[in-house]
Amino acid sequence: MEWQLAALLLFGLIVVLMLLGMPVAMAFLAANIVAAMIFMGGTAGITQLLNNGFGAMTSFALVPIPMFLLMGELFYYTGLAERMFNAIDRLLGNIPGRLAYVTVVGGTGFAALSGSSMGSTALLGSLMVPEMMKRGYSKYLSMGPIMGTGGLAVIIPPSALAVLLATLGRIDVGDLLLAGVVPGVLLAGLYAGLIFAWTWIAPGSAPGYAVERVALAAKLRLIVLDVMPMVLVIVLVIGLMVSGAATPTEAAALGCVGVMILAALYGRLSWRAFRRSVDAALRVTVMAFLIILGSATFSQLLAFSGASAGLIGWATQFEVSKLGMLFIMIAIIFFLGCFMDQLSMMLLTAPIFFPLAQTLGFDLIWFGLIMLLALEVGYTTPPFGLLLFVMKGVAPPGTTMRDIYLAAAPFIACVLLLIVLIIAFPPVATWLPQISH
Amino acid sequence: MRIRALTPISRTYDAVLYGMAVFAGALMVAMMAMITLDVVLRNLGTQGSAHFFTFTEYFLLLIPLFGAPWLVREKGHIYIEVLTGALPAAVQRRLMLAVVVACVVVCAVLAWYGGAITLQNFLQNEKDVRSFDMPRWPLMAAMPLSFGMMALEFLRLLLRGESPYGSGASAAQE
Repeated sequence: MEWQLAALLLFGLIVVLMLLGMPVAMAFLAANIVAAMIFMGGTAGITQLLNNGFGAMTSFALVPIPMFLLMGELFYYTGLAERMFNAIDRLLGNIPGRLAYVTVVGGTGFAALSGSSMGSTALLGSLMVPEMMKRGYSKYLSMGPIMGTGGLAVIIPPSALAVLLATLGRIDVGDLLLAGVVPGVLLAGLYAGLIFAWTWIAPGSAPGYAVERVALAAKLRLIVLDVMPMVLVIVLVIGLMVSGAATPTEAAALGCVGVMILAALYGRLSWRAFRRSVDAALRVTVMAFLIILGSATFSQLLAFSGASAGLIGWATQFEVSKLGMLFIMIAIIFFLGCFMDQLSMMLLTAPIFFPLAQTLGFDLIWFGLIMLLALEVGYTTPPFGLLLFVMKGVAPPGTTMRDIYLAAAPFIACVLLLIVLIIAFPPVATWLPQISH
Repeated sequence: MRIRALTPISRTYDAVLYGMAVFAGALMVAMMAMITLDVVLRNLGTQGSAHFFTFTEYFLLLIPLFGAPWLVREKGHIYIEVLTGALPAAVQRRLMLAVVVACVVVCAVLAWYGGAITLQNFLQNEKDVRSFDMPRWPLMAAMPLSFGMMALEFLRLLLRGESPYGSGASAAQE
């Protein structure tokens, strides 16, 4: 079979089945069963598929995924997330657009601890939008920062998606996690700059209101008691990885224990909260790992059928510069993001994009980080970016999709600017992983 | 009468389904505890067991497989509704039923071949060689068990004419 036909069959079948509404994991499995039978010698292909799945799922590099998920859920269900949020709210005095800053600062913390842009958006949306609307904020300034901070979740460690991408691209998990730290902080800074400019140009979009004055002693108390401990957990997780004292897996497990100890100290670690956290983390873990099982054979099938080599050979034959090729890959992710979740996008593109990036001589950590950012933008690309629909789900009645697109646009522009920055100055991403070696 | 006769079976089946999910959750917590213990022991100057590593890897296989049938029951699998959401209700329903039938077939095929591999592993006494030699069949057996029960769960949805999709917006989550 020609490689073009093989590639069409492999990618086409998965996409069509997904679009028909088949659960994503089942779509991957179904397409792989069919392709394995064609390319791997009939039913022997199915046996191969299951044996591959066994190997792929017992890979130690994937352990941080359930651990990071559990950590995020514990943080949420024990009420620590809300506590930190309230503290930041009280700490930010009477500045124009304060609630938008609260969203970005609190959201950055939450995103770092939860690692989930969906969860982040849903939580911040239901928490902050009603408050901002009540205070007379424009709907754009209410919703924009929320979708923006969702984007931080995938790059600021601990990020479950970064772990998976590193595993797929066969790059060092710790390095990719660390590569996200500086760009994550930079992105939060860009968001803050945007809000500053926004409220300066259009003060009416964030009317001031009387804020309860908090005395300096009370502020210090809030910082020490309600903000620092949560920040410490993140610093602990990142610090352990940077210093090499612990592997990403160990850092993730210790992060979970850290959140549990904190919750216990605050008297918030109830059996109910613990059970709900495990339940929620289990749901996402099961769902994600079944998709990983389904896609374990996918890259092998791409290689076996000649589709990988064919596609890479085809892509590199054009007179396109390396940079041009990078932009094409980013554009493909943006396009897929219109109708697909990040996990599926990643599993479909990584088996081709990473070998291609290697052929082009890219630093794979740098490339991985750009890919993560592109995945996040893809998730927020109109008309069908899934994050936009999550926002719609928690937005006040009467909010149209157009409102949501307009609210997201300036924040998407910030991520795009960050991508350009990382392309122009690679050390933004590669510096921290390098010093950790 | 027939339904009544089925009750003890379906109760047992439900107990197994939820029991497996609870076990999967427990494995996740155990994983956290084992890794933490390993780090603590190492920092106390004692060497943790090399088997911790191996067990953690096996847990990674067992957690999703034991939790998967429960996730079908809970309608927690993600799907994409961009296209299907735009179709007329009658077409949507037919498509949904076709999707569920396809899911039953996929799971049944994997359960069947998973069973064959398990049997072969058992008969040939195959080992998974890591920090210790683990017989491969008890691990592999989780595949036919999981996919078999998932096939039953999708079949259950089909017989009840229920949707496999969770409520609310497209449940796509990370």
